[in-house]
Amino acid sequence: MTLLKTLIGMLALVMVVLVNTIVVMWCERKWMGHMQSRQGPMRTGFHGALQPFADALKLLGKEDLVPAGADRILYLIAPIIAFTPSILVYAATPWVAAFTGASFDVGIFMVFAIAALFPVGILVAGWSSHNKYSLIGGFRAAAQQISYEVPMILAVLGVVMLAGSMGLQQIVEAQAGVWNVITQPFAFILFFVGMLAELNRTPFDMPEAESELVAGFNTEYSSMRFALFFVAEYMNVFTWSLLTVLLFLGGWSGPLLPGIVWLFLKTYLLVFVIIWVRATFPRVRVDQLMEIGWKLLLPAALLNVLITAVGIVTNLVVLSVLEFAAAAALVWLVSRLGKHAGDRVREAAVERHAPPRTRAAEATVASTETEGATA
Amino acid sequence: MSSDVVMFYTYALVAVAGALGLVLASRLIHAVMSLFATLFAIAALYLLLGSEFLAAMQLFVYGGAITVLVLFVLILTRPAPEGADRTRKGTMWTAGGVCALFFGVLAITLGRADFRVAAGQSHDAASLASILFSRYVLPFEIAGLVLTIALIGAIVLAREDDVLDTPSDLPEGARVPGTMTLGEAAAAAATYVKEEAAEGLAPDAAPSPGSVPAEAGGAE
Repeated sequence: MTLLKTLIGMLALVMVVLVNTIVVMWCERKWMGHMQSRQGPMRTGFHGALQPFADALKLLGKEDLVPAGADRILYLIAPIIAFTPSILVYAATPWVAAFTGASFDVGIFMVFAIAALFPVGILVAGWSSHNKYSLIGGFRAAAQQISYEVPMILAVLGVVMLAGSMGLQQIVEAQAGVWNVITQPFAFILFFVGMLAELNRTPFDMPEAESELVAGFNTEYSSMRFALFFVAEYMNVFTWSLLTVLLFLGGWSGPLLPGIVWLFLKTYLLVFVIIWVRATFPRVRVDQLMEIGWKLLLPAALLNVLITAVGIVTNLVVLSVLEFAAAAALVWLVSRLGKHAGDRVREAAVERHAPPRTRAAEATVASTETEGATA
Repeated sequence: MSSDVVMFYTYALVAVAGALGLVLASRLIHAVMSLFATLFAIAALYLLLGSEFLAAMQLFVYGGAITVLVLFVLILTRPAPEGADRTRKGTMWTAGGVCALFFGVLAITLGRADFRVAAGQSHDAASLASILFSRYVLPFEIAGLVLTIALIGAIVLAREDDVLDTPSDLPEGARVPGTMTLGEAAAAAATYVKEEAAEGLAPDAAPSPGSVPAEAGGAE
């Protein structure tokens, strides 16, 4: 009987997650449309509400192709390896106080451990496709996710220190008085930036940079195997928004309305911000991505751990003040770096349009000489 | 049978099948994915035994990091030609003997071991942390230091200095006709970026040789 109950619970959970994934897909297309002065899908159902279902039907009807020269077995199972962790995360995720999944003692750590399996599927997909764009896309995705996991986990460490537990249930309960976004704004920013990279979302969507890589690691995939990657991506957007709400925005707590409504309101607010970021920012370069991850976010996350420790031995007001100061300093630093980069671009443009016979011309002469020596 | 037993045998089967696949697979990448299955199944077994922290650690370190690392190495390095890695008969016998010996010792030791957990001893993350950072803090820190030193050593050994900067260090005869050294390619790319918009011309509208290889129709 308990087994039956567990199975029904699992099925219900998967259905809830899938429905929300579909809603997120629709939201992205509609919201992006309105942000770009378009309407987005309009023809299928009310304001295109049935568009994701139409897409799914279309993908189901397509031929399941395996490219020549591909590693057949790995090519066929790669989407499954990539999809499984996305749904497995929900085993460790609580929704409201009464509905928790398996409430792990190490909740958030378990979530990160499961999320760490995601790059395996992407790498295998990229490699087994026998396509250079897929391979580069797979590499970029895996390298990026591994790099940004480190600052993300360190940022969450502050939250864990405050709650005194890694269990997500306990972390939410510890925010009953004041939400972590007030006491940990610095960690919140670090976590959110890391999350964008973890999700391969703009401005960190190099793995799918369509202008360079066709479509990245899923270039060769068609039919439902492509759909699995696609669904996994949007499911991850919803998952990480939900986790951010649990970690920083007080989870299901809120006045008047029932907890589950608050949870969904906050989660969709974050989904909106993620889509908003996509509509606003251009993509960063690969080297910039690695520099941001290792030289900026990692030290900043370590600083956050230090600040949190200071806050715990003094009091929450001191912690909040220090955290806001650190967050402001980070924003200022990034804006300075951005201005510096902009100045360099402008200087280069001025140099390019300068009168001839500058050092660029000398470089031409030099390279002509080497060419002559080769021939 | 209770559901625990069913799950135990399912995961045990996956673990053993993965281990066999690791040994028997002819392509290295298939072997790695078999290993991945084994590591995953072992994490599930830990979870079944109620050791959540160990399960998460297993997934995180072995399932995620180690597998991705091995995949990176395999994909980035040149694969050995098919059939080149066949071992000789003598090596095979020696390896088999050593494995049998090791397995025997392991079987005897495990058969005699007492796996009972002392009453009241909890194995959650908090108690693990308090042991690790009090009684075993020195071994823990030393292990961390040794690993850091190993990492720095690996970087020093693998680092090739100034690959891009000094193409002139190459002996004159080492050049393959029709190819560029890395330095020349970088110089040409820099020339291209700095001088030409899209039309392959310098800012003063003069043709810009050297930025386009002669084979591709660039000006001589």
